[in-house]
Amino acid sequence: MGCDQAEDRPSVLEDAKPVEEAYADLAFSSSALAGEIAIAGASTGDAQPLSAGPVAQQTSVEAQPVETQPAHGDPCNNAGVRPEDSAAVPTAPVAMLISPEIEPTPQVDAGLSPGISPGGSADREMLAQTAIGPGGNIESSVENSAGTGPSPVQLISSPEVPSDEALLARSLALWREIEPDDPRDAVSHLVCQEHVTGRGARLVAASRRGRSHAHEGKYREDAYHWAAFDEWVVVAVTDGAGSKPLARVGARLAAEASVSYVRQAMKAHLELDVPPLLRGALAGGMMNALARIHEEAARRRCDPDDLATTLILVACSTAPGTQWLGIAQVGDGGVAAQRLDGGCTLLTQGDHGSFGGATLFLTSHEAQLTWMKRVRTYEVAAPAPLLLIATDGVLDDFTPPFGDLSSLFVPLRVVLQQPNAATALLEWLAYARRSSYDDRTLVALMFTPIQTVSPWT
Amino acid sequence: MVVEAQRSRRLPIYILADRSGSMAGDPIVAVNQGLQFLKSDLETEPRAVESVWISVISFGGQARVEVPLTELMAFIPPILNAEGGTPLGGALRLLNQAIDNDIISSTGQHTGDYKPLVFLFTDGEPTDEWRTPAQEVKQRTQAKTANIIAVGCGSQVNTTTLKEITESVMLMENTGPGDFQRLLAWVSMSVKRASVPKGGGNSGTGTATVDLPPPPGSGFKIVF
Repeated sequence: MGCDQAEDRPSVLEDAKPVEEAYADLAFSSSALAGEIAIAGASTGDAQPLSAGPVAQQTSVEAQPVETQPAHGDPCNNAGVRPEDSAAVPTAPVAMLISPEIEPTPQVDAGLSPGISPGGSADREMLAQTAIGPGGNIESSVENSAGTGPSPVQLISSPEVPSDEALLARSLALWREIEPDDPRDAVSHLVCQEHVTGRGARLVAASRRGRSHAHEGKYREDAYHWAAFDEWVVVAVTDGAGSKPLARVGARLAAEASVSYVRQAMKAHLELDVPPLLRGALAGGMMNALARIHEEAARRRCDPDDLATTLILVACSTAPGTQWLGIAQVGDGGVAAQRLDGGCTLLTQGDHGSFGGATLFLTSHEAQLTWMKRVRTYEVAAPAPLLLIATDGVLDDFTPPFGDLSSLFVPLRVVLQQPNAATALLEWLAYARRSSYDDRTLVALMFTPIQTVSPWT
Repeated sequence: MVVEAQRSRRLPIYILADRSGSMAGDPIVAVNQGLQFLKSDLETEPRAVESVWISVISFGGQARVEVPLTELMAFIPPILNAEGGTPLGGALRLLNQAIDNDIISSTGQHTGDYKPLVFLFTDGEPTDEWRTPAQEVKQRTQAKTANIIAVGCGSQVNTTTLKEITESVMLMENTGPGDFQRLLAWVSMSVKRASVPKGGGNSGTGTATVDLPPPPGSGFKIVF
């Protein structure tokens, strides 16, 4: 299944509509109107309003299937699930405005530079409230090591080393939050969604702009997209290359085009055995993502490298009997699973250069030479109770050498139990951690309810 | 919520400073002031506050580690005294050891620290055996495991020698206080750029070397 010509394939992505309007239709991806959070209704029948705050309706109220082409008569009102499959009809997507007027409550005086805007976002407030150590002591300990002039006798001494918490309080005063200048290709800073498919698979996703991009006045450059159809759930998580001007566009397009391809391929070839179908669909998904990038670059008359992005593409089946899990990856970030015994495993390796921060992108020559090696399919006895797909902005904090996976799964299992799990996840992703200031995206996939208490060894 | 890091990602900066006899007087004073400026300037940048670690290795008479790799907030800029010959080889050996010991490099399984960024200032010819450690250093730049920038200061320096250490060589023609000020300001700017995740050339596709700002004005020349 090749990539159609742009003219033959009516697409929400065409420039018929301005970008902001076009993305109002896609309720199940990270592309949301700037400044709003889109929360898709959960179709479990525990109908409860998802948002506690002021509610604003998006321009398109009905849930749309997750496709880049119109539904051609498909009466889906839930991402790819036919009405006869679903037990309940999902509520319409609801957009909740996070008020920009929440005042941060700085508890460390001084050090607030004029560059800080007094009206911070919820995530500033989170940082202000939680990164503070024992008040006045912080400043004095830091000042001693930094403020004194050169001593006449030079010792290779160990001056008082601030704790991470104290250090973060210090840098907090320096971090700015700036709105991007360029209104084109605007991307919202915070996005989260929750959804339950007709087959009982539950998906909770959140993505947020990191402190570094906020400081530079750039947009979030992570993206995610997903689709559920028949017994399959397909998820893509992408991370645009930080040095590239259109990284956010590449990230979004790659996420959408890869998922869209997998869905079409799987639906069109149900006669094939799953393993070759799955591998072909995932490989084709990567290629389609790259093709979409090239197409967009041609349209914008720029270099495809300007849209460089990583891609993690995951497809899982929830059919009784044999379960399948397929993963394709270019770049960093990865997929981790909680096992039935309560332990957890990293399922991907990722591309790492010889130093931190380096990785490969879809547009990299080296990636394209190794397409087929990048697809793995697993036959599993039962679906993992919890599968996490995340960008490196999160994952690097919880994998060696800087962390471990169990420190990720333990809090997340609690977060995902909350009634407003999507918002809770978005807030949890605001955690303050030293040297971790990249965009953060995490998609959690669950097939059975998570147990609160589990036998950790 | 603060997640305490058992170990956090570092951007290691190594300054290799010539303090041979020829640097006595204004030049060494300017270097010392420059190091203080470097600290105070970097402390205004939150990414540097969280991630930058600095070490100073000096060479004059003998080569020694003035300050082992230390986080920015705890870094105390050393006061260097000028004396003796120019044991550049000794300094390079200390640098190689430090990079091997201080840094977590990335492997196939995981990402590590940011690529170390090394600035070497020297005003003259080395007086010890330097070619062997220089080769080892050069191999690191070719393997893209470190970014090394050599700055030749003044008229007595041999840029061919510096080219055997690294491809990135800059010439600072004069050695007045103002020149060192601009040099260290340029170093600070380079470090800030390097502290951006997936930005500049300290990351990305791995083929580019660090994305350096242009030389800081007249009197500074790139040696191709």
